[in-house]
Amino acid sequence: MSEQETIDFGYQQVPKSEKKNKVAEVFHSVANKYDVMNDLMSFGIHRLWKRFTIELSAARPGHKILDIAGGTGDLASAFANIVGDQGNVVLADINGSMLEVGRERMVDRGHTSNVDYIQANAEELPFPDNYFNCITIAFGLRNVTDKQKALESMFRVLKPGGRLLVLEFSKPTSQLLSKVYDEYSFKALPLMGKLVTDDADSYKYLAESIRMHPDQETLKAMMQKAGFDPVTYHNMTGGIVALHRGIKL
Amino acid sequence: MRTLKLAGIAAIETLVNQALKYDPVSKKRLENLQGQVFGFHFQQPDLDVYLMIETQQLRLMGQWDGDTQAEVSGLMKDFIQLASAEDKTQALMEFGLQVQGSTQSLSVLQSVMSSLNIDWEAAIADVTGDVPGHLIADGIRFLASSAQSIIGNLDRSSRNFIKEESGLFAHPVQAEEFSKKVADVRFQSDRLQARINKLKQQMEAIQQ
Ligand SMILES: C[S@@+](CC[C@H](N)C(=O)[O-])C[C@H]1O[C@@H](n2cnc3c(N)ncnc32)[C@H](O)[C@@H]1O
Repeated sequence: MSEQETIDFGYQQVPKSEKKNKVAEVFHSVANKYDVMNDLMSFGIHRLWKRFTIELSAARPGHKILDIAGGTGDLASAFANIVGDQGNVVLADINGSMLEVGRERMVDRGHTSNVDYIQANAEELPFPDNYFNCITIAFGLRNVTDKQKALESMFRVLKPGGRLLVLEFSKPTSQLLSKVYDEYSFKALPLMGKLVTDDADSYKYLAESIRMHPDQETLKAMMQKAGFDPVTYHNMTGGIVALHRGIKL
Repeated sequence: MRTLKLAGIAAIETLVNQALKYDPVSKKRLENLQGQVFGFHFQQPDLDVYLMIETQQLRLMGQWDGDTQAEVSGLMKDFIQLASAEDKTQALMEFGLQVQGSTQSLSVLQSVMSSLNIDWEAAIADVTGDVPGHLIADGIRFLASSAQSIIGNLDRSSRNFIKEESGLFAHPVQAEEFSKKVADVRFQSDRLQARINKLKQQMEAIQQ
């Protein structure tokens, strides 16, 4: 027993075999607070941004819909209500813990029969060609390493006539708003993150990753390069967030 | 301000769904309409609202990028006048709401909505402010209470198809303009109230 190999886990040493579980536990606790943080950080406006995404989805009963990087399943839940028993919603995320919380939330909301949960990387979607009527990725593309590859993968699994909706932080259209927003995201966000999840660094990462994300026109060009045509976008809340829509002809 | 309008619509949706939650009979009746989308187009002030019937609830939307089961449009003031008219059939001829699509589904929807115990006036007042809330609520109440008679009296040949007049609806709702009008009305009524108060004080001063 004493011979068991140990490894660092924060400042502690834990048996190597347990680290995976410990890490999962951490993610689990962050995942659980994820919804609260979302509301707090956006003053609840993320719900409205998501509503707009649904409005542009043209989702109908019987449709197959993929919510990739779906996290706790806000969009997937709305889609499950729309597609009905004949349809199917896939809630997919690269992170197993996030997916598990997503599943719990979905069951809490009363969804059981028409939702599948799949651990998947947006860059290599494990679905057949021409499969989904609609794909959504909300606040997820930013975290993907090879975004172009992910867009191409989404293009492949969409049916002809299907649409991709990318909801993501973008570039504020006014300089003043941009300044206020910078102050907010670089100072207030990490502070809130620290208070609620005791994890300021993750939220510092969030603010930084938002700045690194391609702006409206760049993302549009990337979607076109992946094959989407036409590609349009709508700025929301002064361009802090943009919703891009690409159709696969 | 897209988000402003979305917020208002979300608030009304919550209210309707709460009412539905405690009314299993109405919920059951909506099952037949599952998946259908209805469009309502108010004009002056302009407001488009789409209603989608989901499995267990309704979804209200500010825009919709797909087919609809039926669409109804009309001037807000006509909705209001119709609401207070004694003889709705007569009034209808004068004010004319335009209906397109499946009147049958619309009539089921109408009867469910009017059976729900919702104070539309209060609900909309919460969203838009007292004055227009009152006006819009009249319009909605009218829709719920008398869509049946509209539908019953529609002569197929005289139906006005919205799409034929699509110029009217070509552009998305100017929610900003709408809320500005709301603010204007409120501002004016506040000023009026202030003037009344001032006059009252002057009268009291004179009487003393
Ligand atoms: C900020 S959350 C967004 C969750 C949810 N869509 C929402 O809007 O609330 C980002 C999610 O993207 C997931 N993610 C990051 N990289 C990914 C990838 N390459 N493929 C799939 N999901 C990914 C993360 O695990 C996380 O759950």
